Amino acid sequence: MKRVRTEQIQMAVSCYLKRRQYVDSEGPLKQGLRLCQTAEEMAANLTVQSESGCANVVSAAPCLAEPQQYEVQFGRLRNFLTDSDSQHSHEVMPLLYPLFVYLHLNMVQNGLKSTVDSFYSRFHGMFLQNASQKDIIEQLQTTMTIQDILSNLKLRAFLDNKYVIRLQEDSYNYLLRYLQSDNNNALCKVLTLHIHLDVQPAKRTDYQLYAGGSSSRSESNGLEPSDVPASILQNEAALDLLQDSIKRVKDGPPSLTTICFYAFYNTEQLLNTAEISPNSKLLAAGFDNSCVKLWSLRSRKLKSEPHLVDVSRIRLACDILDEEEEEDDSAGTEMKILRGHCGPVYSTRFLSDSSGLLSCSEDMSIRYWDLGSFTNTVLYQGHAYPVWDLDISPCSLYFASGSHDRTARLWSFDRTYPLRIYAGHLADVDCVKFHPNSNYLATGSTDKTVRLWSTQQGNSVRLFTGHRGPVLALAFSPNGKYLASAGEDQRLKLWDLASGTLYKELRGHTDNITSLTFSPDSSLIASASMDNSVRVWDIRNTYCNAPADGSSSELVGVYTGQMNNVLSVQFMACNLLLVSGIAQENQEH
Amino acid sequence: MEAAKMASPKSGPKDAQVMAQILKDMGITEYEPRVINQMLEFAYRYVTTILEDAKIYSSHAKKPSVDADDVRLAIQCRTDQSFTSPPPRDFLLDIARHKNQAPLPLIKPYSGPRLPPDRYCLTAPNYRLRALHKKV
Repeated sequence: MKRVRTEQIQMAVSCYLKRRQYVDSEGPLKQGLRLCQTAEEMAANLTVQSESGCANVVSAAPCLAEPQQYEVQFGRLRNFLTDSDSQHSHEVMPLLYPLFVYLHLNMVQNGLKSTVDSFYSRFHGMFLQNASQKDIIEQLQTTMTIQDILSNLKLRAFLDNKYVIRLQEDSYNYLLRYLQSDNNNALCKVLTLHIHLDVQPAKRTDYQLYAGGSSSRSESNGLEPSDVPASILQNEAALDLLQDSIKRVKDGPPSLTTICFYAFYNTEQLLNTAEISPNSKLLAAGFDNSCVKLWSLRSRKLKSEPHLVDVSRIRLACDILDEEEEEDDSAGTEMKILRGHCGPVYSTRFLSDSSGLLSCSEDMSIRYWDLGSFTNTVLYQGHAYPVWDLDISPCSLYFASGSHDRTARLWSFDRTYPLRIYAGHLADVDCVKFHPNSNYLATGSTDKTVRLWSTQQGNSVRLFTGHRGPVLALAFSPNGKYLASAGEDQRLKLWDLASGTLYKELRGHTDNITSLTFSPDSSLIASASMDNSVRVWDIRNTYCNAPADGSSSELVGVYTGQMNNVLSVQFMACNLLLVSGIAQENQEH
Repeated sequence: MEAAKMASPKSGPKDAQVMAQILKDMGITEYEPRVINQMLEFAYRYVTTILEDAKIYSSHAKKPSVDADDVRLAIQCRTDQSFTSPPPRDFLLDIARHKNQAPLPLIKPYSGPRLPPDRYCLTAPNYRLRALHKKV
């Protein structure tokens, strides 16, 4: 009887789902609907959830720890927290006191007298400010054996109960990253056994993707456009109101981006790189057959501009120059092919005013193409090995290239030889990027490091290690604070340039990441990858919830399509993201 | 075109089977079938180049036949020419330090398109008109 009833219920549910056109209606039914849960099952689920919750992540650490390491690891943690003077380290600082007490008690229990003495004498001084802490510390000094601990009520209370510390989620992640960065077995062991970390999740509001503009805005602090006539600005109160509304806009949720995808068909696997000009009018692509093809993205066709100097006519000041309006577009073509290289073209870059194009290739040369006449104007030679990547400095004053010869070189447009050599990488330099202030150059390499160089001096000023694979893409934030790097290890790392440390690590991609870009207000990062998806992340991370597939919680959206490979992403002004990639072709074998 | 899984060509020529075995020994399991042909071509070209060089060296030394020393010399000379690797790191650091000492040239303001002098650009015509000689 009961089985018939269950089947009836399942039938009803599947009919309802089919009527509502849920495609995967067979999936959940095959596994058997959970229509009721016994009390035991509920209890089991609850314990599983609480045991595997965020506070118990640290319990996975191995438990072998030598007592000599206690002093080393505790000292390192203390130095780390005192050196980095940030809000997170201030929140984690109270953790040092219980760690000290428990490590001391542990060593006394194991009977290691000399290490106990040295540990105590080195670190006890920092806890003498607080009266209650000072009291315990002095009692610790007299404990020599286990019996001393057991007879002392306060110390025994330490051992019998867990010490509770409250942390914000950000500080907790900060602490976890430090513990993971090096060998901290002893600290992890103490944290699992004796300390309970009460993690308070950061306040999040739900972030809806593809919502209509009005609903997402209504979930945030309701903004009204405030009309502030110029005459009221003298009023102090109105000024405060204006600043307040500016702050609300700045801290509000990032607006959803518009994405425009340019797909290449029938490239026959020859396409290496694609880029869109800053004025969005041209698309340049570099191919393995040494040509660079230019497409016009507007309705106007590409046409060479007429020569400005016409030596067959002498113009006098009194001449009336008649502007010849060329109304026939027959002379123009939609695509122009630029031939000049003798090897596959690996990267192209437009000048910031879109008047010229630089391309670098396996034939060890860099060529400058003038986009008025679509001809090759200059040949820059200096590398002895294939050149992998190019970047142009913000005011188009210099450009830099990275090559297989493990160096990056700085060039100026009016000299055909390099001006600076940045040597120091152990393997070839895969990507180069200028900082927005043109003073620094970042290079990513196959030796899994990212280096920051001073443009003028030529010496390496920072070395960022931590990637587990070659670094294939770099991007600087327009406000100059962060550097994003990503590569074959499928992780996006954000480095804070002021302190020179890792700020965030974003997980989620499942294949090599090929391109990165920041939004103009430095709040969003878009990343393109060979797993045919483009992901947009919000690095201020105030408005997202954790996605289901294990990606970092900064993920705002994942965009996939019928693509074989995504080559480049570029943020334009007005919140527009331009993506170029290779379209998926039907297999005809 | 998807890369095909490695399938040992059972009916192929012996050289192709040997090449497939070499690829398997080096740990490469997925490759397109034309890779074997390309590798065989490369091997043939390399060996013939070395042996021709060895013949030249042995005839220069007036030896009756090519022996192992000639082949060894041929390999050494070819390696220096074709299979080069980037210079060692300390050498690179040395020349970088030397190069980076020179100050950067000044940037002239308002100079229009910044291009090298015309001699170093590719803007000159690469042809010359031949004057017609008038026949009297």
